Amino acid sequence: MKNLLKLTAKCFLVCLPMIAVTVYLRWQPFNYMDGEAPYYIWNRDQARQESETYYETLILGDSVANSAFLPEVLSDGTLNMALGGMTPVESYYVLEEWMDSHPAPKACYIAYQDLHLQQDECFWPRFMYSHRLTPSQSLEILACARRYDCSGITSSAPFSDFLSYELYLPNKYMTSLVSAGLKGRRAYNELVYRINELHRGRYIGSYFQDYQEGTVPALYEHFQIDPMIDFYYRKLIGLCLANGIRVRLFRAPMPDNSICTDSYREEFWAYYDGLKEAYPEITVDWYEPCGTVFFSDAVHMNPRGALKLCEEIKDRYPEDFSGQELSERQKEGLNDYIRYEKLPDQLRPWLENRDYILLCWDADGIFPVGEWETVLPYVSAYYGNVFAEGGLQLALTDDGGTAEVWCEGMEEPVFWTRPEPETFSMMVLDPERQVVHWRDFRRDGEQYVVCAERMPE
Amino acid sequence: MLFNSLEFLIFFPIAAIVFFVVPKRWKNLWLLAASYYFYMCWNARYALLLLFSTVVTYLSGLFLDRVRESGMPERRKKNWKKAVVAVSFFLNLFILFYFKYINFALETLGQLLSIIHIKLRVPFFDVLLPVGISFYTFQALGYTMDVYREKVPAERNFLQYALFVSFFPQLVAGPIERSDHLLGQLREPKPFNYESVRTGLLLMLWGLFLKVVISDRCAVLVNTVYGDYQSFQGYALILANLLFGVQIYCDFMGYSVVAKGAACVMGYELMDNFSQPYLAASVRDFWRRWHISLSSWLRDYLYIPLGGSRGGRLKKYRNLLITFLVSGLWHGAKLTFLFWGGLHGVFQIAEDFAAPFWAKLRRLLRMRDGNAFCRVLGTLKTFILVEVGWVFFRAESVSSALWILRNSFVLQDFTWFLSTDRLRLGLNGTNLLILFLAVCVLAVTEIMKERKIQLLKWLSSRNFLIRYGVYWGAMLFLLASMNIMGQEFIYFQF
Repeated sequence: MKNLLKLTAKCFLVCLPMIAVTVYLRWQPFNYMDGEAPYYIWNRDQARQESETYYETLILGDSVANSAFLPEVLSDGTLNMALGGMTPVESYYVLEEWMDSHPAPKACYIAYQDLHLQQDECFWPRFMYSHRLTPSQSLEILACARRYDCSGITSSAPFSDFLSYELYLPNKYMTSLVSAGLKGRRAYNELVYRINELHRGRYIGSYFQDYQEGTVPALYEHFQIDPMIDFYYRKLIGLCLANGIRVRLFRAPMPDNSICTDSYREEFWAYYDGLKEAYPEITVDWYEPCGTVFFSDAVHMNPRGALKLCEEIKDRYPEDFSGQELSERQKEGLNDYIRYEKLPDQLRPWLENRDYILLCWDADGIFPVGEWETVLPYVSAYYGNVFAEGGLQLALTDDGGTAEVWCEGMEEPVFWTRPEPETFSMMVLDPERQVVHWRDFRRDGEQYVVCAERMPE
Repeated sequence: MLFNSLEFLIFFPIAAIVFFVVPKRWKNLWLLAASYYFYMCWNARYALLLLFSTVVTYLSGLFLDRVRESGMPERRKKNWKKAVVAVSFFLNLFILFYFKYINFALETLGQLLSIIHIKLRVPFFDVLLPVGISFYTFQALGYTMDVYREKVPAERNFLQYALFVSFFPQLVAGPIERSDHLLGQLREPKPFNYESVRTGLLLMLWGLFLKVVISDRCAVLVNTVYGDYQSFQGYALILANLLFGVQIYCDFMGYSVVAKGAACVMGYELMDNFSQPYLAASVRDFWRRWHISLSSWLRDYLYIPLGGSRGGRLKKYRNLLITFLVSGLWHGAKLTFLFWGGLHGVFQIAEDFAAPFWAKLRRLLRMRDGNAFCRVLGTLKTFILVEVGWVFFRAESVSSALWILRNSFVLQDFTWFLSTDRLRLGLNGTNLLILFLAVCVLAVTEIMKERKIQLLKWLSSRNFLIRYGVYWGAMLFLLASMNIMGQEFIYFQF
């Protein structure tokens, strides 16, 4: 017995470095996990924690759904719970978890790209890695994967992989730990978490990523669904219907250069008509393709595209989105997008029908007046050329080098120095009359490019 | 189930603890069940092959004993015994041939016939190679031969014999144990012994260090280069070849040491499979130190029955070549392995030829037999020859091996080592540094072992700080390697 105790103590001592690292991995995930993990962790926290706000609409699905929905545009009661790589398998547990700690939403918008109906490739590297699912949920998925022989999930050693992730063993996290190095990733991961908080779950393509030339357009030839994923898809719809949730399935828009064959459309509708037959209450929408300017790649919409789609959806299903007034949270989210929008003409849709003020100072008149026609209805002041109105006060210093901008609601005026020759300056004031966008542009051929950032740090 | 996997980390303590807890008469039954479970983790159906091989060799042992004890005339007895051995060999080798060599044999036949313009439509057999089949088949056949030679009595207890064939620490990649060594130990299961458990666990830690820290890290670079060898030349190829030598040694020795450690925890002693092979003074010496269990098996059950070195030089060389071709073929159903085996045979013949000239030269230079300079020179020569052999062992085909050898000697500037080209090899600076340090540790231990210093004994006699410094150092190395670990052991495919 004495020897046995001695041996156990020695084994523990020898393994001390391994144990210490495991404990560190368990308690400090933000220090080393890759940049997407906080997005999954935020999603987990939202689903498990009770909230004061009643969420009437939930978005479920993969990165396509995540990028296509802007909760700040839809309503204050909308939450984007879609996650990159999520299939109906994980979506089912996310909704189930949600229902355990929240009242049922009125509607669920559900969308997946085809890849995530064909295979579950992110179960291990994303969901298990970031501990998005509970151990019992993961085990349930593993058991089902074994039953359906789902190759994406049934790894060569699923049980040990499961244990390794659940126990935060170094064999699964060492790569992240080594990559994170001594500096760690905490600051970045906390920022990602805050971005999720700010945009209520919309994280994929958070900011303005333009469609890159050379992006290979997507080709849609056949629509297929994995049996296990189909099983969970139906289970998910069943869960929604059982709780009186309106189910809106939709095929997110694709860039207009995508190739979509007739046979694909036929197979798509054959499947979804089957679903509609089984669940007559659901709606299935196919959103037609739109320009590549609304996409950041071959499948994901950028915020411009998401804005366009959300406004379309809001018009189509007004019953799912109550409250017309922008809440504080919505304003904050919108401001963040406006802050990152770079091009003057693309600011317009963000400001349209909202209480924002756009100011331009085009001292040299480089911005042809004709082009203002498209912007004018949204321009409350066009100093130096056209007008000022709506309680806005603009005063130019004697030398004409600085303008003092003030309007009702502002604590103190903003001093605006004259833009450099051959440039013009643009400023956006939000409904709280805070400056949310302030940049100088220069004309470069047909385009306007940013030449100076004026926003204070 | 890999030794460097979490499954084994769970399986082994359970297997060992239950082994110590259950009453003596159940110990072997438990170990047998654990061994079959261990094997079935790969492919449950292939356990039937293991069982078949066990039953055939077990029955052949009983038959041989019965023939020996029967009152029939000696000549008839001899004939019967030969027949029993032949049947046992035929059945075992037939299975080995079917699962390992059938496609290679048919393909080779087709190619040979095409030379004389006979076109043969070669069918392809979709068979999965059973893990460790070459190891357990040779171990079981070794037993048949030992009973035939009356070196050991036939084992009557089937469970005991089945455990001998399937003993999990050495089941899938050796060492190929001899019946007179392991079978006797299995008859007497040992109780818990603190010292052997401690020694076993330390051996396992060392084996994992070799595999995970050195071998897996080398594998990254070697696989990168060999995967696209035509886009590399000079130093990159030389470095990959050198590291493959290190990789295969640490991979296989790592496995053997973990196996030895796992057996030691339960009180069994497995044979040493390696004895500082890269310090060998000749290729012949190398084979006394490398994969000792296989080379001694081939020596005892093939080379010597063929006539060994008796019957003149020509016969000796013939036997040597046959043995090494079989050794090559044992490693895999590929021409490259055959070539590798043949090359080692040729190296030894060449060494044998050159021996009198070297002896004369030494005498002329007044150098003694054990002269240090000669020794270093011999070690260097052997290392280079072995490395040349490894190129054939690792390459996909003989032609690619020849290409690699040709292009290894393209002159390059030394600054290549500092250039960004080096990063194309797949290992960054930190990993190269870890690898370098780990290889230094290996080199020191090899030299200490060569000088007959017992490392574990040496370590045990140090104070707490040194001991735990070494253990924690190994642990930290293991931790730093976990992002690249998880590769299978090379010898599993054999």
